Amino acid sequence: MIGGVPARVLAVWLVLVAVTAMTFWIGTGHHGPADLGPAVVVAAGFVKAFLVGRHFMEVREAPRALRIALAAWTSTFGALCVAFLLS
Amino acid sequence: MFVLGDMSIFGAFFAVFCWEMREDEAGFAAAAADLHQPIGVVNTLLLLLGSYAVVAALQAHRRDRPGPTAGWLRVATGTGFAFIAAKAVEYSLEISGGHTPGTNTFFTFYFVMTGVHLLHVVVGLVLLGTWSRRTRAGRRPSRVFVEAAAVYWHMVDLLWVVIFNLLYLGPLS
Repeated sequence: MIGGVPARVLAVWLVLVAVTAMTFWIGTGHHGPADLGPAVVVAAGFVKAFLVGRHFMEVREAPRALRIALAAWTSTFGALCVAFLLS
Repeated sequence: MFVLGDMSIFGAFFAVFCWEMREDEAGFAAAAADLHQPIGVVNTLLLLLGSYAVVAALQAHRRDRPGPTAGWLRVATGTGFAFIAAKAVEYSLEISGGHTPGTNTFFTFYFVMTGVHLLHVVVGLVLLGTWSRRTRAGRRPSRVFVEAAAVYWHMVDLLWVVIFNLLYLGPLS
């Protein structure tokens, strides 16, 4: 625990930093394992946004309506973006 | 509700951007190659650090520890100012490279999306600054105010992590 932040939030933060570094490395052509394609990279952005909302904004502990709103925002706009990029 | 409305407007922006990218994949890839991805990733890491600092500040505030609260808020506002400075460098590099909002569709999206987001960073800094000032002055701000300021700051981070993948990395992938 650093700064009184729960271990779970610190773990999520480390995952966000790692995913950012990894998508940057692969997205800018630094010999990734495969060409991810824009849909995967954009979907990864929405997953990161969901984690920020759930764990940093404390939506995880918020009333059910807010939990649904965050999930709906992520899935609706994330799915729209991915669908457009794959079509 | 305000945060959700704001996020939905950005969400619509994101969807329209993807629609336009599908229409001109090669053009968007060529334009995105002219962005400065290292500045983008530094800004992402700055906002993630800022979010962590705000979580820590909120925990300290709840434990009624004004010293650590003010300290973590200094870290958070520092990341915000560093973000603005990096963005200023990035804009000046783009404009001196001949890229303006009128250059093409990609750069219109780039300047509008990042510009509106930058305004949100400024508003977030005003909220964190108010929280910090009141804490340092010994006037403990209300729970509603600090939680609203924290949620707003996290929204700034949430929107940026999508913008970074969408504008800086997506078209190149």
